[in-house]
Amino acid sequence: MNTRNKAGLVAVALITSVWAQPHVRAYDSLCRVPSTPTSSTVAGLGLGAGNEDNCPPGPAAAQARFRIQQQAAGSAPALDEHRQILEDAMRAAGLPAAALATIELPVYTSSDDVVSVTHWFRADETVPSVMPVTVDTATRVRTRRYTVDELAQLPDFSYSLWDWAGGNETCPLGNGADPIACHTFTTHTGAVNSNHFVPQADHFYDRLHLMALARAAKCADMHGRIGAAHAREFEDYIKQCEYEALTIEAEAQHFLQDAWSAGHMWERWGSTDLEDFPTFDFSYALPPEDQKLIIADTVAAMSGLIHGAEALAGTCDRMCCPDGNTRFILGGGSSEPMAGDIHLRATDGIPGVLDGSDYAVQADHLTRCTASSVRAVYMALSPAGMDPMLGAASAPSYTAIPADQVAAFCHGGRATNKAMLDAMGIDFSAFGSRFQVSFEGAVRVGRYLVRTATRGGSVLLPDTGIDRMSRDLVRIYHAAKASALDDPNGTNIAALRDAANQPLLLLGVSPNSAYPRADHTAGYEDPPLPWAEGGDPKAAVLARAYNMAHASEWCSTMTAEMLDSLRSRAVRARSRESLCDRLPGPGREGCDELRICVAFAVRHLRTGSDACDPGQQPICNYLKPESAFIYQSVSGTSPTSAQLMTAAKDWCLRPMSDTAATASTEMCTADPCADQTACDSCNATLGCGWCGGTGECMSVSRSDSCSTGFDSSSSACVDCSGFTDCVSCADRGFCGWCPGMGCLNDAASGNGATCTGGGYISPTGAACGG
Amino acid sequence: MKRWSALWAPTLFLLAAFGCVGGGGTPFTPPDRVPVTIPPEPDLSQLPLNAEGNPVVVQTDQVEIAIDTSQRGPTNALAACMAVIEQCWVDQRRSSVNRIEVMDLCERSAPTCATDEPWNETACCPAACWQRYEAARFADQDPTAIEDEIYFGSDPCIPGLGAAVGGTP
Repeated sequence: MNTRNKAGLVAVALITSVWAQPHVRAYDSLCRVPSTPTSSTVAGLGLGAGNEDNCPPGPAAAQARFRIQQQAAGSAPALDEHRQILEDAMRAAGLPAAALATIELPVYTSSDDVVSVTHWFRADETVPSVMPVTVDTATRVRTRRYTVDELAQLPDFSYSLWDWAGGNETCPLGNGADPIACHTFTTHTGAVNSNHFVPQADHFYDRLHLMALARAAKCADMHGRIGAAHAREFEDYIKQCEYEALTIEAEAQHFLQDAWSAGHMWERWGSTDLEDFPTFDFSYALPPEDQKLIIADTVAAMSGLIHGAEALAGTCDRMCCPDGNTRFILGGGSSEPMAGDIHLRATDGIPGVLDGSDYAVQADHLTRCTASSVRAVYMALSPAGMDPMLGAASAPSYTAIPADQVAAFCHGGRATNKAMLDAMGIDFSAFGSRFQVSFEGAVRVGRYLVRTATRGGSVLLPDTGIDRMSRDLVRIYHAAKASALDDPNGTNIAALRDAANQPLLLLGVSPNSAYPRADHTAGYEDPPLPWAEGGDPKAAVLARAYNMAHASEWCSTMTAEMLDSLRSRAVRARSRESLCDRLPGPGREGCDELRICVAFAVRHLRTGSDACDPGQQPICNYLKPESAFIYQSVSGTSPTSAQLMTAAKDWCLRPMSDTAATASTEMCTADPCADQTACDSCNATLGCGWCGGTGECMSVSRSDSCSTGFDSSSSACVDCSGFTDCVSCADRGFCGWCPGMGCLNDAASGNGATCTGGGYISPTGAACGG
Repeated sequence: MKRWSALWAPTLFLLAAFGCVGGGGTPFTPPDRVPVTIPPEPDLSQLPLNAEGNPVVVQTDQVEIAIDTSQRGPTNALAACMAVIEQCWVDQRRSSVNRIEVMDLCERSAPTCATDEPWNETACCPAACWQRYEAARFADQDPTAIEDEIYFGSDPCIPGLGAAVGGTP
């Protein structure tokens, strides 16, 4: 049933679902399991019609698509609103169509399966893991597909990008919860979603947007290092980098968009970190982490009542439903009408934020901020004098926000005191009318009972907790009433402070502006850049998932020994190939090691006339010239991408006994030998030798190409030509006397071998005599 | 001089409005009582009921918040007292201009509870509440700060409330 059509249902039908999910979703998010998940186009996914989720939380959600099929004309607007807002923003920002194309992300995983749905009376359902693992343990390649705009919904299904990249297969809260429960809104994610409300939403947006810009700059750097002449050869790497930067921006956009949704324009109690919540005297044994979760869930539930639950409940709640009376303030200006969840577009005669002029100020901030933000990231992808690999951006269709005003213009406003007071209650509809029981009213007529599910079973909040919560709710409502009368357009209640600026706590939990403390940030946030293997485990997950985007880091990480190890594993896997081929589906144990080896080997593969032929260098040559390399001969001067992959595959299958295949770290790219123009400096350079026949410095490995006079010893360069007698010649230490030819360089002459007349006197030999 | 007045007039107004100079800088005089409206109790009958027959406020697979209307106690009395005072604010058209006067008037005019179990009475405020409010006002404290202390502080004027919340403000 379309949630919009449920308006007017009696409360009995809706309250059981109140707060069940949507209060995190400003605007809305939807997740669907496609019937054709391998489709490279959205149209081919088979996502079905309707506005309901059908993906269970946790690992299943991470592997589903965060979008629904476009609704038929005349039907209710699709409720994947976060995605729609970003798609609109990308178009308004002039980004090319390629920016919205389906991304295919090959990730290297174990062969494990993970539980995606649990059942009581039959076997649990599983999905193959998509958690990226170290390349030397990976046995399977999974391809993840998404479009950038979809991941604007990510924070409603995953804690952060690294959590999504890890397939939602761990619990980032660190409280030992299983991945499904951990990613269930009503049990865990809602408890710590205070970052979807201002000002934490602003902070999360700022941080992630800056991260997207930083990654975009790295992509531009990668593109520039490769250069226009070779960019097409390595476009897959550059494009993945560009998509990664846009993906981080998509995650950032969720928080930016939230900040411009009515229900989120207040400083909802709580932290993003369970550790910040208080414990409680539960009179019975309950682990501290469970106590904190109970408090967090209870506070989130009451916060949800202020925000409203229209998306599921159908009742037009006071905060989000457009009625012109709910207003916000921005930067001390005049109050403006606002609306929120599921009201992005007009429906059922109710105006939407983006339709008409009713919500012009809110719409203006939302659309210009999202568009200018994503455009800023896109423009940062361009190296000097070049367009991003995804294509040139066209002119934007919005009025730009001056760069120095972006923060002031785009950080979310605050609901007025009047709006906050109106929202402080239980909204429901009955018999076609709207009713509300205020927080205070509910306390007046009875006693709250708070029952929470824990791992140990259902528990009741103790009496002391109930009384504190009731007392706190009355205090909060009383302060809101006072402020709404004294200063209806003030915003102190949105900041959860009374008129005297005292914080209005709920169960000992402060407004979200009090968190995170400087010394205590959310453990699940995306890690700071750079993301690479070997450091922060969260960064490693991201570096593995977007390993082509992070080719530069991987070129450094991948040592010669690791390349040979990948080859060893590929060779062993090949020996099992017949067995692999008999195994079903994507879970074929050990069959993908060859693909994994090829994926990394090709980055280090040299295929020119020799390993130092500059015309046939791999991507690592451009990004990290000192990185390890392998060499595999390929016929022709300009191998195609397919030929390079074949060559890499050939290398990966060369037996370990083939020592000529061994990966090397010899400097070759920025050929240190070629830079030397004198014998002594040449021979003083590691790996170089002087070719006397041609008078050039070259790599020892190319000595065969020197027809005469190749020598790499340092003594070979001593000039012996100025000595006219045996004594002074031999005294130089590096010169020998040839009676018929004069003073010769001992090393260059092959210890006198070129003294054809005989009688050579070496530097360390007999005296010259009389 | 004119310029000085223009500068200070709004400042003094703000200080008075928000209590930075106590109760407004003028000596407190207890107001005469006025009739107050007792707001009706909210009707929860249209809320759905849980298995125990209690009206449900929130229900998810993790949390259920319901209201047991058969239990009465100090928090009911607190909410009822506040509801009376807030209704009085509305009736007296409280605003930033008359905040102090209206707060004094409504504290004074709230029906005084007759027993030590006000949760079993019609909405009222315990006598101790006015007594403490009045004393604090004579000491030139701001009405908002006084209310916060006497109703929501560690030693509230509602019988049994302090013990019920464990003495925490």
